[in-house]
Parts: sequence; structure tokens; C-alpha cells
Amino acid sequence: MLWYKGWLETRFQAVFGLLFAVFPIALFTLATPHAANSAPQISAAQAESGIQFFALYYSIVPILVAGSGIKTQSARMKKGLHGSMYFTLSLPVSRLRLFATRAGLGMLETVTILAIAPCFVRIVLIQPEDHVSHSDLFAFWVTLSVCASVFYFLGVLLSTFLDDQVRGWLSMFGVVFLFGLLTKIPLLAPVNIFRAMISPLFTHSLPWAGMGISVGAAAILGLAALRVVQTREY
Amino acid sequence: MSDWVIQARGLQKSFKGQPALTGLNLEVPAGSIFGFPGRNGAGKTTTIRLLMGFLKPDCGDARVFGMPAGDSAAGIEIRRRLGFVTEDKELYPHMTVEQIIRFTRSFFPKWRVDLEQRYLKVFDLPLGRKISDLSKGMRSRLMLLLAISHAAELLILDEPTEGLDPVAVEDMLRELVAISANEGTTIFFSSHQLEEVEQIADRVCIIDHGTAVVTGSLDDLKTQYQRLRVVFGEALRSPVQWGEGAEHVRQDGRTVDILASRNVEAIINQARSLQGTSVERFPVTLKDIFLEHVRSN
Repeated sequence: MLWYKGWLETRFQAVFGLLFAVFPIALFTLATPHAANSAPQISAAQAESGIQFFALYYSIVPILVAGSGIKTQSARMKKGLHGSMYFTLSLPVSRLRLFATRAGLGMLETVTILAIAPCFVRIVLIQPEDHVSHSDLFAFWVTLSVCASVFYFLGVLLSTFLDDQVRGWLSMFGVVFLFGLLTKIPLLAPVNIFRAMISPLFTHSLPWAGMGISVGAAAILGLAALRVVQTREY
Repeated sequence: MSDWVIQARGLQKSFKGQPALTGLNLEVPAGSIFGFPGRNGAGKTTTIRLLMGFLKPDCGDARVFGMPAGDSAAGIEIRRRLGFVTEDKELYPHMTVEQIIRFTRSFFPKWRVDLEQRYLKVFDLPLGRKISDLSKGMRSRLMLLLAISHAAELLILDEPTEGLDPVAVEDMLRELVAISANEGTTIFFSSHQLEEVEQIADRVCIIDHGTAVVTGSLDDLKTQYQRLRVVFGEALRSPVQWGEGAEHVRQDGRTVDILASRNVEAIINQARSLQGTSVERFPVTLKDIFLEHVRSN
């Protein structure tokens, strides 16, 4: 039932995230009605740069969906009140279970929404001569989801002690700052997870190193969030 | 079960250097209706949060059902056996009454459908209505229903009647007494409404500035405490050192009011030896005891 409660609480965020993900496709399709057959002629470098930028765009999705901290439940609280937080904490379940359910549900929503991204790439950015197969698009989705988990768990960590609005802006700033850092500093190129996100479209294989770095970073952020939830006083 | 459902010894808790509890001792016997009155900011809610395991004490020990309240594993077992009504009566606003009952039921294997059905009728709760559309009074009743229906051995209620109209308050108090009598449930409730505490509690602990100032059975306290009014022929020229048990003394001209907690006869004899022209005894209310202790504290 915690899943059900989590879904009721996050469904509007998830729908917003979905609309956010669909927006560029809708925009492009409306602007060029025969989009699928008339994708603009662009170079491979332009395509990579464009796709990397949209990887950044889709990295915002997990931030919109994140919010697994128990404190998030008090987001609508009025002064002096604490929302439903105390009712949740009074249930005979561990904080680990509360956290894992919300974090797991949010991640599931994120992965589902991110399935829009390969569609966008297929419709807007990939040319027929680029030889991108369906399995490449699937690999792109997997990689994007794994790499985006870093941003999701960053949002989760921030949600354990910040209210939703501050968390959202701070996470977005963090993602954009990281994007700038990783793309502009050549020394950091090996750990550029934005590049790793899109690499299946160009290398036709999974970027294991980038995915490993992402999983490691996400795990550290997730465990830090769990630690905060377990030790925090409410 | 041990004799004490709740035990706290030397509880201390500060927030940003401001002491909220300063060595609270508390013992709540099984089966009692235990009132926990205190002024706003006296430490009632902090105590309850410590008992629920939401906070950890800086010093001291809190046990519920003999288990440490701050321990995460014991906390799950404690919360399975108790029902909690929060101070602000906030539930999930997007759920309906039926949904939150179904949701809460899933965590409690001993859920009592008979109690759920009974209190749905008693509290007149509309199953299909969203919680966000319920009044605070209805949310209070719904929270109480959720707390009762899982066959809780202990109810911890933080200001359960706050925000209720007088009729709803009476209904709530009557049901609390019925629950205690019918189910043997221990009820621990905080309140600053002394009349309510006096109406249903059999034991009390008055808390002020984070410590217990008076603890005991309400009947014993009322027997033990007496108010004495001594009238003298003329105003006393110097302050009198009254005997042991004279908790609070107030002098107004020829009249001296004494709140005595023990040795009442000795104090009366002392008044007579000081040429008191009349000595009257009055029974005290919880409010008298509360006000005297809180003012002097």
C-alpha cells in the first residue's frame, strides 16, 4: 500500500515530467508536420552535440519526479503544521522501507518517462543513413536511465532536508553546472556522463564505464539520503 | 505486559540550545487514562515525539511496552501496538476516508473490522469523501478510528480535542472512556484543557518547563490537596513560616490562602495558634493545583 500512497502523491509530478518529456516532440511535430520523413540535414557532430544537449534536457525529468524524503510530505504544510509526515512515521514500518518505496517508485516513474527520449531522438535527430537500430535506441534508453539516476538521487538527497521548491531549483542548477563542467573541461571528458548517455547511438554498444560511474555516484547519493532519513529527527 | 506501559526517566531534550525537557520522569500504568496537561510550550509534544521515536533524547531513557522508544527495530513493534493521533490531525489529503482506512489496515494484521464499522457509524464518517474536504473535527475522529481499529493497546493522543466544537469534544471524551473501559486500552493524552483532563483522566502528570511538577492519581491528588482560607483579626505584621505541606501561600490583608499538599491538620492547628479567627477548607480542582504549581514554577 505504500506504493499506492506514493503513486497518489507523485502522480502529478510524474504527469508533469511526462509532459516535459513530450514537449520537444510535440513542438517539433507541430512545427514540421512531416517530421519523421523530413528530419533536417545535419552533420554527425551537430547531431552528437544536439543529442547531448537533449540528454541534458532529459536529465531534468528525474529532478521533476524526485522527492522521496519523508520531509517532502510536509511540503504543503502551513506554518506550525507538519502535513501527514507524523502519521506516516507512526506506521509500523521502518524508515528504510518508507524511503525505498518512495525512491523506487520515483525511479520507476523516471525510467518510464525517459522512454520518450529515444522516440524524440528517432523522430527529430537521427537520419536514416545514421544506421541507428531499435536495439541502439533501447540501449540509449537504458544508458540514459542509468546515468539519469545520478540526478534522481541528487534530488532525493536534497529532498530529505529541503522543501520541494528549493530542492528543484538547486538540483537543476547542479545538473546544468555539472553539464558545463563536464563538457567544457577536457580533463573531465572520461567521466562525462552526458556523453555516456548518448554514446549507444554512435558506438552501438553500452558505455559500461560511464554507467558504472553513474551507478556508483547514484548509490553514494542514495545511501547518503537513506542515512539522513534514518538518523534525522522529526 | 509490565505494570507500566510508558516509562521515562530523566528525559532531557534541547532544540538549538533551548531546553524543551529538563529531566522528565513519567510512569503510565497499563489500563489507565493518563492526562498530560501543560501550558503551550511546556514540553508535551516533545515528550510524545520522544515516545514515538521521532526524536532522540539528549539524556535519559524512554520506554514503551518495556522497549526503548528510540530504537528503530523496537520502534516498529511499539508502533504496531499503539495508536497515535497527531497534534495537527493531518492525513493524506488526496485519499478518501475509505482509501485511508484500507491503507492503514494493510499495516496491522490484528485490524478489527468490528471496531472500524462501529466507529464509522459513531463518528458518522462519509467513506467516499476526500480527507482534504473533511473538517478538523472529522479528521480527529478519523484519526481516532484508525488508531482504535488496529486493536491498539495504547493510544497516544496529542491534544485530541483541539479545534473541536463543545459537542464534538463531549462525544470524543465519552468514546475515549468507552474504549478504555471496553477494550482495556491505555490512553495517554496531552491537553491544556484542564476540565477535559479532570473529566476523564484517572492519573495525571502536570508538565511545566520540561519537567513533571505534579504526578499521581487524580483522586489521590484531590484528597491530598486542600485549599485553606485563614482569616485573622488583623493583618499579619510579618510573614509566617507555614508548616511542611503548605505549597503556596497568598496573603491579602487579613486573609491568607494556602494550598496544602499534606499535613493539612498541622497547618490548621498552626493557623489557630496564630489566633486565626476562622479557618475554612475547600476541595481543590485540577485547575487549582495546575495554576498554583505552574505559576510558582
